Order: sequence, then C-alpha cells, then structure tokens
Amino acid sequence: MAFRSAFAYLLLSSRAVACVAAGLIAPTVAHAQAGLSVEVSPLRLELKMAAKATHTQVITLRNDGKETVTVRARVDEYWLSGDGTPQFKFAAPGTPFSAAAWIRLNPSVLTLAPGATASVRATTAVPADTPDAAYRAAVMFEFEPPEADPRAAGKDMRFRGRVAAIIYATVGAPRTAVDLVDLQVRQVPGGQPDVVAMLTNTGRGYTRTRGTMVITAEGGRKVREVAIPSVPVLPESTRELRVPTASPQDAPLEPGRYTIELRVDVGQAALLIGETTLEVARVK
Amino acid sequence: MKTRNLVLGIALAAMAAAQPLSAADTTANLTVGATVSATAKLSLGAASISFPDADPDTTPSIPATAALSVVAKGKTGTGSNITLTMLAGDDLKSGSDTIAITNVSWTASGAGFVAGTMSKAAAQSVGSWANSGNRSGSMSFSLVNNWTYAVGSYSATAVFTLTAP
Repeated sequence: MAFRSAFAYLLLSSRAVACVAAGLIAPTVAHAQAGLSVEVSPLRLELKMAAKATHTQVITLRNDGKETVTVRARVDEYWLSGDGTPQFKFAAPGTPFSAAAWIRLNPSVLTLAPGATASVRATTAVPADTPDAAYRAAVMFEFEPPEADPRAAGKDMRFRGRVAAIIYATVGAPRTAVDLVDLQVRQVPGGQPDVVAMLTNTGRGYTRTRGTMVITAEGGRKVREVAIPSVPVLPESTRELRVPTASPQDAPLEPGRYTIELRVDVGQAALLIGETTLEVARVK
Repeated sequence: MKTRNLVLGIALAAMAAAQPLSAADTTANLTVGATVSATAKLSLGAASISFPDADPDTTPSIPATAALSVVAKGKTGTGSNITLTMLAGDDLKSGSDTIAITNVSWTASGAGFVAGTMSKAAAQSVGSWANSGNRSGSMSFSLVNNWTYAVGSYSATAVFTLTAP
C-alpha cells in the first residue's frame, strides 16, 4: 500500500500519544529555477490526531544546484478550486478547516550551500476542544528570487518558484459524505476528451479517490480501463475529478459511440457509479 | 448522466472502508521502516521575460521576447498527481500606472501542459501529471497591446508552485 511507504520520514513526538500518522505519501520534489535546484521531502503528510495532540514532522531540503540558496518557510492556507487546482494564501484567522495556526516551523529561514542538506521541523499542535473534522494547511518553501536583468525595462514578467508541502490533520472521526452529482465528457483542444465527474462532500471528513473508468464500445466490447487518479476531496466542498480517456501512450479512440462507466471508491460503503456516453466523430 | 449506488457485500465493503486515514489505529508508537523513493524536479528556463514596445495597430498582441521552458520530472506513487500552478502577485505596474495582469496569457506545448490567462486572484493550472514521468514543455506568453497603456517600465512577478495535493 502506497501510504505505508511514506512512514520513512515520520517522527512522532513523545507527547503524541493520541496522534497517529495515518499516511504519508511523499513524492520528493526538487525545484529548479535558473540554475537553482532544491529538493523538498516529503510533500504530503496525512495525520490522524486527537485534540491536544502534538506531532512533529521533519521536512528535508537539499540543494542540488551550484549556487547557495536562501529558503524561507511559512505556513499558508490551502484549498482547492472547483477544478481541483491547489490554491494558497497567507494564513488568516477564522478560515474553515484550517490547521495553519496549529503549525510552527523551526527554522523558518535557512541557507543551503551547494550539495548541503538541512531540515525544517513542522510541529502540529491541535488545540483542546477542536471539533472533529479534517483540517489542512500548506508549508510553503520559497526560494530567493533569481537575479533580474538590471537592464530590463519596458514590460517584464519575473518568475519565482516555491514548493508546497501539504499537511492534512484529521481530528477525531469525522464523517465523509461524498456524492457523484454530475458526469460529463469534456473535449480537450487538440487532444482526447476527458471525463469530468463532479464530487460533492457534505461531511467534515477528508478522503481520496480511487477506482476505475471502463470504456465500452457498441456491442459490449471493453476498449479500455483507466485508473482513476488519487485526488483529495476536502470537507464541505465540491470539486471536479477529471479522468483522461487516453494517456499520452494510448492510441486515440476509433470513431464510434462508447459507453463510459466510472466507479469511484471514496471509502464509503457504496461505490459511486456514473455512466455516460461518448461520441468520437470521424475526422473529415 | 446516470448514477447509481452499488452496495457491495461485506467483504468488498470492508475493503472500501480501508481508506488511508482509517488504515492506522490510535497507536502511540509507529515503527518506521519503509523508504520513500519518489522524486520530482521542476526546472524553469529563465528568471524573467519581456514584452517589447510595439504599435497596437500592427501588433495587437505582443509576444514575449522568448518562450519559457519548463521541465517537470517526477516519480510518485501510482495514481498520485504532481501539480504545477502559477499565480501573479499583482498587475503589471509602473509607479501608479497599471496594466491588468489578465492581459497576459500563454500557450503551451508539451504533454500535460495547458494554456491559460494570468490571474492575481487565483492560481492557474500550468500542468498536472499522474504517476512517474519526465515532462517538458514550453510556455509562450503574450500581452494584449493597447493605446491606453501609459509609457513606463512595468513589471510583475509570478510564482510557480509545485505540489502533490
């Protein structure tokens, strides 16, 4: 199980009697910009905690570039827009389902020489009387902006880069109540169509998707089975789940009429199942 | 769309309930023994781009002087995504003069890279990739040209954010 492989980066504090690291998928990310390259690991932490519990996570950074890099770390709010795009903003009191105020970073600024490795400790402390729910925040690692061309003038866009490590902290045992409320086929300019499912979670829990999408031709011949991507479904939210009908390696679907069945497992007793049709026109 | 709920047997329901967050019980000490081998890398080919001055009548859309190359290499767990977004910090500004950042848009080439329009309100998706792979693309920016722009040296900063939600 993929979640188990992530425990390598997990440290539990001695006070975390009621704090359980339920899973940690940790793709390591190296960010590079104009000769700058910093690796951050892990990128995602999933915690199951009780009120008053504390958990400390060590996040490792490594400078793979040739220049010394200054990294500034801070905690931001994190949420998803309707199409599932991650969004971040400065932490603000009163943000629903926010764990930003619970997280302390040490250090928050560090300098990495080429080839050097350093750690940032992210300590999550759940306040007493926290209602059961799935909370979240993002630890942002921003890299010093690259040197801009001093001769630049006119109309310039300058680029900066950062890496966001997401922390999900589920307190207690909140309920998830996810429903599949819409399913449609969306054409992609110049590409194969996507199937887009709309998922609504009216519960206060957090879950992730998995499952399959089966494409069947007229006559019942199964043409393709596609794995559904693992995406988060946040509490009291609605989001799109986009599933491509073809990967870049797959051949385009032949012209014809297809039935598409989506089976989404979000950890509830019943699978979410939706069905729609797809017409692939013959190219003239 | 037709939807229906399929209530499965006890065995399958138990499998469905074995979601990540319920996979671990309230245990004080966890033995840490696995190794994480996932890796990803993002490379941006330039720190800045420029839009040269041009006659709005003959050049209604000013292409940037160079395209921005982007390379995203990633190793993740099966089905997991790595996402790259871009958010403008503000409009293009020159003193008190402003050009709305929504006048800047981009086209993209490369698998998984998408075209878009810059925004200072919400991060825009640049690309999203499932599973492991080496993705490279090119972003070509353009600025809507207009006689109403005041003369000046404008600049704005955009932030690329790489994450695995």
